[in-house]
Amino acid sequence: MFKNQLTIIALLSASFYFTACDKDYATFSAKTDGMGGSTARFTISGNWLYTVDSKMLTTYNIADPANPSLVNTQQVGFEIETIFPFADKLFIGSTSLIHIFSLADPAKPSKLSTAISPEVMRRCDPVVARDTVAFATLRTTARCGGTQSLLAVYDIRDITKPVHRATYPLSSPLGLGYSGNTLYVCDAPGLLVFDISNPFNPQLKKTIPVNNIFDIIPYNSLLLTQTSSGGAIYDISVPASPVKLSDLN
Amino acid sequence: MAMQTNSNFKYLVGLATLSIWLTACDPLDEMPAENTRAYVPVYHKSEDVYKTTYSAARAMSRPGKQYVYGNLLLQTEQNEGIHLIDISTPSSPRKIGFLEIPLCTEMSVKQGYLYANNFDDIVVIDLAAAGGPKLVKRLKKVFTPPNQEYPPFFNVAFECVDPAKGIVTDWVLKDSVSKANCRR
Repeated sequence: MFKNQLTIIALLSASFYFTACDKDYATFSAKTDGMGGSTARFTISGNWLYTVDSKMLTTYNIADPANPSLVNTQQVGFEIETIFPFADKLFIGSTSLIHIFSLADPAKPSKLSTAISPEVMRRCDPVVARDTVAFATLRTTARCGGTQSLLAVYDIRDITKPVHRATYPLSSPLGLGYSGNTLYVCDAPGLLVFDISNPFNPQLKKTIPVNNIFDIIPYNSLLLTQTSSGGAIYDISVPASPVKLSDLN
Repeated sequence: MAMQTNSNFKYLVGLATLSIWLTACDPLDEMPAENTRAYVPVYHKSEDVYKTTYSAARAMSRPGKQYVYGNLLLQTEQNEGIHLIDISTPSSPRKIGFLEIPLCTEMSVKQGYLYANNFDDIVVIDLAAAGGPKLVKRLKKVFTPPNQEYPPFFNVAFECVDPAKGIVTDWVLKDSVSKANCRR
């Protein structure tokens, strides 16, 4: 146990060193506090921890990381599923809408806009954002309507008025994430690899067969996948060509 | 046959009013059903929920969400806690310990402090504490876990939840349920 404890401290230290020195834009490495998947309900931005449950967005001050304090709770909507931070914004996915919040006052996020799904349907909405574009997977459920599950792309140049610009049909998508110009989407056939050089015209380049893949985390040169048996670690030094390194189980 | 008719009716209502979400998926829409295919809640006994313990690494059984922080990967074991995994050699990840946190589903880390839900509490755990990861703070009843009232599926029959039986951790689909009195 003692040896394991040293290991944890070493791993944490490596993280401090790494993040402090990293200036690479291409991935999320600029984040200093680790990273979760697109289906997470907790996220950290600077000195603030944000959590979403089915209705509420709660803000905690973690300037003293050992002693968080709850500073704000507000209602977001209904059936909130996910939270994703990007720049000074929070993207909150629900079963029918994407809510975009400003963190101009990080202690009290304020709602900027709502992106409506391309078709009025119920589904799961994990969302990620990059620059002026947001990507969401919209998953229809078997008996609650008959339209297509899809990848939706929104133009968010005007953050107060998200515009739905593109769709790509999918089977039963869940989590998603990107590295550089490559977007990864978890879908029934496995891990889908898209070229998003032109984000409004995503091109499917590869499908890596994986059973029951739920979410992913692109983290610097690694891609972590979450599946029903655990997951796997891929090398994405070349983002468009993930190379499997190991299994997690 | 009854279910089919009901479904079609709701579809029409949805088209007519653009309010599919309010009609077809109402969790409180009760109707009697006997010996039907339905979801049944799995309960967790309410005692012994609010605790955290650090123990030896264990195999994954029902792995859940992941969180990565430097070379440390955290992955939940659904409803049981969090695996701590060393990924400094990504070709050979190594489990180094397990944090028992009952009914944990979510987590984040800042500067070595883990924030995770312990059912409806949020716990703060110092991962680098001398002697092993240690609970340093508990925020009581600040997080509402999802799906305490209905299964995460639509247009399904299910056995109504009885909060007296404990916390709902999961739903299983069974073929012949005698009291599938709830629908959504």
